[in-house]
Order: sequence, then C-alpha cells, then structure tokens
Amino acid sequence: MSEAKLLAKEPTASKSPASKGQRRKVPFKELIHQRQFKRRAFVASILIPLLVWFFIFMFLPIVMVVIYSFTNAHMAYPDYKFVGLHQYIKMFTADPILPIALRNTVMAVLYIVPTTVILSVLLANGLNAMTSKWQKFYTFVYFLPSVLSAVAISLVWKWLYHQNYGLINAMLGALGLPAQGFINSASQALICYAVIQIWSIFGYYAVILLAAIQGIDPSLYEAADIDGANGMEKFFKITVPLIKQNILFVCIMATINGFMIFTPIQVLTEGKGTPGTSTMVLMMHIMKRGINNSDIGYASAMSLLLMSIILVVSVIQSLLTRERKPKKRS
Amino acid sequence: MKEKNLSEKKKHGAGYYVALVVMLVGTLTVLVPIYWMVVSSLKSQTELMQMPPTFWPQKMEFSNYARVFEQMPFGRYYFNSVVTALLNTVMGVFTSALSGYVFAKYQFKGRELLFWLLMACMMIPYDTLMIPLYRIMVGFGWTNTYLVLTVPYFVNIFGMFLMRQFMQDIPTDYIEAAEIDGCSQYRTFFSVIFPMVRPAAAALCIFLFMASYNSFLWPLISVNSRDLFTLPVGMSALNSDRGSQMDLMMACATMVVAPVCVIFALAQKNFVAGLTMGGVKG
Repeated sequence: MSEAKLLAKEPTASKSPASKGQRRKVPFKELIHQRQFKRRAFVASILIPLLVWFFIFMFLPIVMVVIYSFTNAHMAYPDYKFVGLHQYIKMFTADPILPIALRNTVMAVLYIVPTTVILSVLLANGLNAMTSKWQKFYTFVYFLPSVLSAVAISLVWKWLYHQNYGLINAMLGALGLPAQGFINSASQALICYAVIQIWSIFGYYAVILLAAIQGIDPSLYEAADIDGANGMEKFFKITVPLIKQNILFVCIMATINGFMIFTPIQVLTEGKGTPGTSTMVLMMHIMKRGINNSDIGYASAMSLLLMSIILVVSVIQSLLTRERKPKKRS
Repeated sequence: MKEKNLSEKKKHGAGYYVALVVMLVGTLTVLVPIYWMVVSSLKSQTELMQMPPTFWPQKMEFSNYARVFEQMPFGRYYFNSVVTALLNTVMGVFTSALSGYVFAKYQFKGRELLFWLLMACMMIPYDTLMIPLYRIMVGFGWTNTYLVLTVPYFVNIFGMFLMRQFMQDIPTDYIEAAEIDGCSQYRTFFSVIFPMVRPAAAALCIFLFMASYNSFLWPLISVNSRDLFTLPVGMSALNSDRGSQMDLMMACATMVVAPVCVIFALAQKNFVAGLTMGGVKG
C-alpha cells in the first residue's frame, strides 16, 4: 500500500537527532507540532461522537439483547432479575406459537430464496444481452419495485389478491378457473406474501448481478464462440461460475430478507398472522411478545435465536460455495 | 433497435428476440400492479367492485385523493417522513464521509481494530436488535419524539465503509498541500476532500434517503403518537381503520409512491448506483 499515514510520519520526523533540544529554534518543527495537535483534535472530534453513537445504538443493544434474554425484563417494570435459562426453556416448552412461527419462517425462506436467486440470475443474463437502450429501460422497470415503500406495495397486493374484486381472481375467472382465497386461505397466504417479497426485490438483485456479468472478460465468450459453444453452455460454463461469489452474496441477502419477512404480513394481517396462525412468522412473533406484550426478556431470547439461525445459514452458504476460489477483498 | 449500432457489438439472433419477448412479459408482471394501483385510485367505489374490472376508469374520481387528507393527517405524515429523511440523509452522509476519511487517512491507536469491530456489527441483522433498542430509547425518554426518528439513522456503518474505500484512493499529497496552505482540518475536508468523493456521496445520499423514507419497523415500534407517524406507519394505520376502502388505500399508496417514482425516473443512474453499492463494492 502506497497510502501514506498522516500522523505516522510526524513522530519519526520529530525524533530525528537534529530536532532534539532545538525545537524552539526551528519554526518549521513547531509548525509540524502544531499541525499534529490539530490532527489529533480533528480525529477526536469525529471519533468521539461516532463512538458515543456506536455505543448507544449498536454496542448497547447487542449487549442488552443478550442480558435481557437471561432476565425477566418487562416494559412495565423498571427492575428485572436474572432468571438463568428460563426464557430459553420457555421458548421450547411453553410457547405453542414459536414452533409454528419457526416453521412458517423456514417455509417462507424456502419459497423466497431459490425463486429470487434463479429469477435474478436469469434476469441479469437477459439484461446483459440487451442493447444499452433496452437495458436502461428494463433496468428501470425491474428496479422500480425495490425503491417503493414496502407498505404501499403490500397494500397494492392486498387489492390484487382481493377475493371478490381482485385483479388476479378476475383474470383467473376470465380463463375459466375458480377464484382463489389467496391471503384469506390458510394454505395459500404464506406463498402470497412470499410472492410480494420476491416481486419487490428480484430486480434489485438482478442489477447487482448484471454489474458482475459486465465485469466478465468478453474474450472468454469470444473463445467459447470459436469453440462452437451455444448460449446455454456459455451461461452455465462461463457466466455462472464466474459470478459465483456474487450469486452467493445475493443468496445470503435473500436468505436474510426471507428470515426477516415482516412488513407485508404485519400490514395485511395487522400483526395477527391470520388466517389462523398460517402466516405468523418469527419476526412478527418477536414484535408481538416484545412490544405488544412488553415481555422484553422473552422477545430478546427469540431475537437471539433468529440472529443465530441467520448467522448459521449464512456461514453454511459461504462454506458451500467456498472450496475453489476464496474471495479476496481489500 | 432498428439502428444497430456498430459499437454495441451484439448479435441479434433468434435467442435475442425470444429474450426480448420474455423480458417484455416480465415487465408486465412488474408494471401491472403499479398500473393497477394508479387506476384503482381513480375509480369510484362502485366501479372498483365491478366484475369484470375495467382497465381504465369510466369516470375519473379524483375525490379519492381529497378523502385521504380527510381520513388522516396526510400532510403531517408527509412532513414527518420527508423532513426526517432529509435530515438523516445529510447527517448520514457527513458522518460517513468524515469517519471514512479519518479511517482512511489518519493513523491512530487501535484504528484497524476499531474499524473491523464496526464492520463486524454490519453483519448483525439490525432488525433483531429493535427490542433492546426500544427499551433503551424508553429509558432515555426519547420515544414519541423526533429524536427517535432521526438519531438512530445518523450513522450508517455501511456508508462509512464505502466512503473509506473512496477516500483511500485520494492521494495524501492533496491533504498535505492543503495543510501547508494553511487550511484547517475541517476546511481541508470540506473544500478539498469532500468535493472529490461527491459522486459517491450522491449515491450514498440516495441510499440513505430511501432507507429512511421507506423504513417501517422502527417508526412502527418507537412512535405511538399520531403526530409523529411517518408515511409507512400512517398508511399502515389507515389500512387498519379503513382497509376495506380500496379506492382510498390506492390513492394513499399512489401519493406515497409517486414522488419516489418521479425522482427515480429522473435520476435512474444515481439510484441504481446508490442502492446497489452494497453488492458491487462489498
């Protein structure tokens, strides 16, 4: 690294034998000295507020989520006492909703992640094949849902899914198919919410992957053309292997988003996870127990559970795609 | 497509046209919900309930938009959302740029350790920390104030990381030259360094603005007073009260989404750059 470190230079300069004891006589040295003080003050003036913020909004919540999970902390009472593993035991023995929430969340992830990843890889490839004019148009269109408010999107889909007057049922009707319950049907609701999540994000991931595809050396494709490779072979043998790390990134992001699925279900079921408990997901259960029931201790324990699930799944995904080319980043 | 540009260097075989058609069909699935939102917002209640539905309103019903303002303090929510988002963006960009600059160009004890500690925190899904954060804010007495909608957004670790990457590419000579010319450290930063990273800062602005404008979970938890609701929370509350009136809901959703769509159309390049930085850079 050629990057020079400003403060690092100064001590060596002032420690040189010539400067010893004659600092007063050399104004230039004084200037440096003064400058170093200014630099220190500058660094401190930025780092101190940053660290205060970091302490309150990052460090403290991380520490507190762990501490609370071992206590009976409750919003209504300022005091709490240490209850050991009680909250964790409660999680697996005394909460009938948690297994359902876990199952629903995992199902949502299974619906969301493969579909999102496959759609975004295909779309990225499609975008890459377009002339730049069309590419710009399609990027605009497919990227659009990801900039819109998730709450607004949820409401739009609520209307599309409407059992009696929704557009989707109207279209099914026009094709002679029976009307579906969608978000009112216990068996379809979760899939419907997964569709909202996929619809709103896959274009975003596609644009990330497009940047990666555009970074591939075109001579590879030219060589493949000479060898008579067809489009499919080029896609699977060149494109996919070369953007593997980026696909992994999309995979991990989609997984995290899947586990955190919350907004559409919260808005459209008003936090109830209806019909029945068919759309009660982990994030909603945490909010319900922690905010509505004020049971901070228990909600913290569940937050930690969710955090560790996400961490473990991300690590597994990275390990699975690791073997050959460990990613090197500066 | 008619004028095939030589510089495009793309062969237009059958596959290309198949792809084009598939992409067009995909485009419909993306655009139809948005189109349907706008069209429905202009229909009367009776026309909404018409089967088969009409694809263009028989009679434009702009009163739906007026009704949104009657049903909820939409202007107030708009003000809350936009003002907090703007403040959070400005603060976020400056804290990111300043701390990125310090981490890139200044040497101090524990710099690397501190930086990687911050990076490690980026890995934690922040939404899972909402419960303790809420408790802390209750302890501070910040809930139901503007503080809770702004201060937690003031620092963005990802933005810091990004800015540091860009700052590292700036030759240190510029900083030294500015110092010799007698610039103060802050002056050096604002008149020499910051203008050099302006494109990255612009992209970061969009990222931060969207993150704040669209954020739902934290304002939902931390604010109970209707005076402090932001648009997503207000919209969600309206859905609880008047959820069956889809004309009203669609008018509200259109008003929330429209400014973003317009800005996105005007500054597509910046948007895409700003929102995908995470994927490309990180």
